[in-house]
Amino acid sequence: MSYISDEILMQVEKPSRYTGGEWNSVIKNKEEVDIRFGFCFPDVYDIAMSHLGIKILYQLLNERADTWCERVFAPWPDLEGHMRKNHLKLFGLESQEAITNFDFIGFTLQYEMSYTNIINMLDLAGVPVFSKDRTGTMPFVIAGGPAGINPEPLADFVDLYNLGDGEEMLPEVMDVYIMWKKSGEPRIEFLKMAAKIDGVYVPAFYETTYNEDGTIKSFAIKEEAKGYGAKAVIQKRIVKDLDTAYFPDKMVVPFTSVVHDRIMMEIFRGCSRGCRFCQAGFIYRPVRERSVDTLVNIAEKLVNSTGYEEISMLSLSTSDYSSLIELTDKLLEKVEAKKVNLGLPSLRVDTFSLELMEKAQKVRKSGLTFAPEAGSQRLRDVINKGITEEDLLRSAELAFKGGWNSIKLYFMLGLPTETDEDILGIVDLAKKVLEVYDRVGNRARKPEITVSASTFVPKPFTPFQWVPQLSKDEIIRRQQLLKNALPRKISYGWHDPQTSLLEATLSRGDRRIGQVLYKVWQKGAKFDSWSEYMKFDRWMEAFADCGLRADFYNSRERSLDEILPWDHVDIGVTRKFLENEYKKALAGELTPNCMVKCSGCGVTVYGGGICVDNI
Amino acid sequence: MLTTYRIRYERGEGVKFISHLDLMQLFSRAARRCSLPIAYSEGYNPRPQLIFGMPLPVGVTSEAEYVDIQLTVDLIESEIIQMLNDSMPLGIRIHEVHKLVNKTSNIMASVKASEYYVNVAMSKEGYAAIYEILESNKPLLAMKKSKSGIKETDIRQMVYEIEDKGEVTPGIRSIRIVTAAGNTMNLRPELAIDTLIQQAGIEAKVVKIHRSSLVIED
Repeated sequence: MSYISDEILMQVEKPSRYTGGEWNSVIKNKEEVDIRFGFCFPDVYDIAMSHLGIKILYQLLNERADTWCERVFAPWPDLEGHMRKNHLKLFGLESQEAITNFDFIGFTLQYEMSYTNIINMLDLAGVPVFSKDRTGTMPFVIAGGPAGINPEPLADFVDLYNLGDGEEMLPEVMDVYIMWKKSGEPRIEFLKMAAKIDGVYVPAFYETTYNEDGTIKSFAIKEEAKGYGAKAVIQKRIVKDLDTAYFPDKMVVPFTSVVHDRIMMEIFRGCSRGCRFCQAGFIYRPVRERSVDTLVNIAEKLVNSTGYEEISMLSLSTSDYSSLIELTDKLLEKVEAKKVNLGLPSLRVDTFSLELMEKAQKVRKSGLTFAPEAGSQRLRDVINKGITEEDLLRSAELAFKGGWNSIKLYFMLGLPTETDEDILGIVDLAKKVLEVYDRVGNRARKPEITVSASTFVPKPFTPFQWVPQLSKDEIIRRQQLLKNALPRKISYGWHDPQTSLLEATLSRGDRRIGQVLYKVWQKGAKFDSWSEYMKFDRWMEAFADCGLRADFYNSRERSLDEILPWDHVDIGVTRKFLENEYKKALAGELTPNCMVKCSGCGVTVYGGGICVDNI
Repeated sequence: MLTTYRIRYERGEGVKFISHLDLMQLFSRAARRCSLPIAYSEGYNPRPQLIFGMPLPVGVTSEAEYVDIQLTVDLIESEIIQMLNDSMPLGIRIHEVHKLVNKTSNIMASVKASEYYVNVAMSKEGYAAIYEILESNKPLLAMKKSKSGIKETDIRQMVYEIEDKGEVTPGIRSIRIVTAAGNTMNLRPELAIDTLIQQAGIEAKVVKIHRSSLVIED
């Protein structure tokens, strides 16, 4: 029986987003579990069901007899309208029950523009949105995921954070919760117990003071929380050995197609490249691989349990997997008879190989994306991208000879030190790719070269965490410069600068951003990652109402000795290393790939992955 | 040697919002889960050999859904039922499988009519009023979608049978209706009933539709 009536479901878009019952979804008897966990993805079903992290943790939690984890997604505004009108609450897909009295409401934080949906979902659930207002046996709000590595913008809403990999930490939190629940102690006692678990951060135990110029004066454990056992610095948790780490052998198979509707298999975590703009490249260190045998075994189980027709090998840079050819060969051997294809996203320009692409049959010959990121060698060196024009042109030549006629080139505008000359370098590069096509491409078909340019967003825990983002006017000027210089034969795709400005504001935000989020939500903000719903002016009004300025966060240069809002989080990579990388960037100096040489980022403290494998 | 089987299956409450387009994937994934040896088309992008019958409107349940499926191996019918049912989500049940020996036309071309049980919030007098409309000789005009767009059509000849099966819950009557179905003529039951309600000028509302059988002529 679905929580939403047929009458309403018949009036909304894609009703099967809301009715659950998909293959491999887990139904339990609610009387027989201690914990009801609502795993929320703060976006609509189609996006949420495309995310691997939720699939891992959903299955992991449900393997516990004492826990029932359900999926909870943001209703699309059409349904939300009906829900609010009929006083319906946010509900779990599995039980089709309101989550108001669940033990946990968990959010995965994948991108900043989803933050307003978090507030909206808590409100829809009938749960007080601020952690200070939740009392008694109301749900605990727990959060994790890459955007949460700067936990401060949502600190007022979240009871506890899991920083880093969740596979070991989350079950420990569940164990402690059951102990607390049975003890009958007050709410705060659970938070104290949880705060002692490595990687757990309880924002309410800490406070921030500010200087007159708005920068942070101090961040410390609150006086009254000093005896709670909370740590001054919270080190992110990692799964030391990914090969033996949990990976689900089942995944929910949606009824209706979603963005990534296939088996997602994480082949390794982390990235050894050290591109200086890339937050994932730092926060997921060190590189940890799953072995070929483990992956083949996982793939076989998943094909049998899901029936999916495609396996996508996920990582931050697939071609860096140490035995990719062996892996693809062995996988194909196992699954080819079942008409299962392989997908290889995130291939790099410098290691692009036709052999690999041909193994991945499902990669349609219409879509190849290469990411030089910047238009000149000088700027590519600044960001430590480590690929050359020759790499790109050689890959393009291989692809064109292999029958492709369409290539998308992905760049960022507004990288530190970027000049107009660098931007015009993008045009030169694209023209050269076009020339390669004219030389070796299939003359019967027209080449389709697209230049896609997003705006650089400086992120915490990168060497560029101190740098200002460009102003809106300057972003627009540079976009226009590029657009006007590109020949008509090359298409141009650009991203809305307003979203990038907000991302930069939120990603490096401090605790005061919470008020802004609350305010903008009150003004009606939700689904801000969807351009049709994001209203920039509404955000600017909310900042003004709170006496804050967005440009303090996005376009202000931080001094190297400033206390940053995320300084109490330790990702293993030292601040000193990032500082040094920043200086090297400005000098255009490269830092080698971890596979080649250890540069001493600090993540060796974990004693795992590539840091020990290569010794 | 490929063998074609015709499968009759049920779509229950839990799966009534799945679109017709998503069924192909649902069946081919279920088949892969239970290692049912489906035949695939030749070519660069091989497709499973599944041909679905009459699309079921979203929100309608049915015990008369049909799919023709081609296998690379000759299997016993009961075995196919067992294999598929073990790997189908709740709400989809395979009821019958039979081998098509002299396959002449596909399922879509063979369907002639469709029988539904429609729950309508309506009084006994209300039913009498719509029955009277149907029995009269006046044209029964409805805005009907066709290949050339939406146009006014006389749907009287497309309603083959109608019968009041009595009250199922207070205020709700179950109406059995048989309408034209298939490639040449097709009428959705709610359009038939809504049009009758409108012409009779009564207060009534369709609340639930269930397809009970298809008339198939090979």
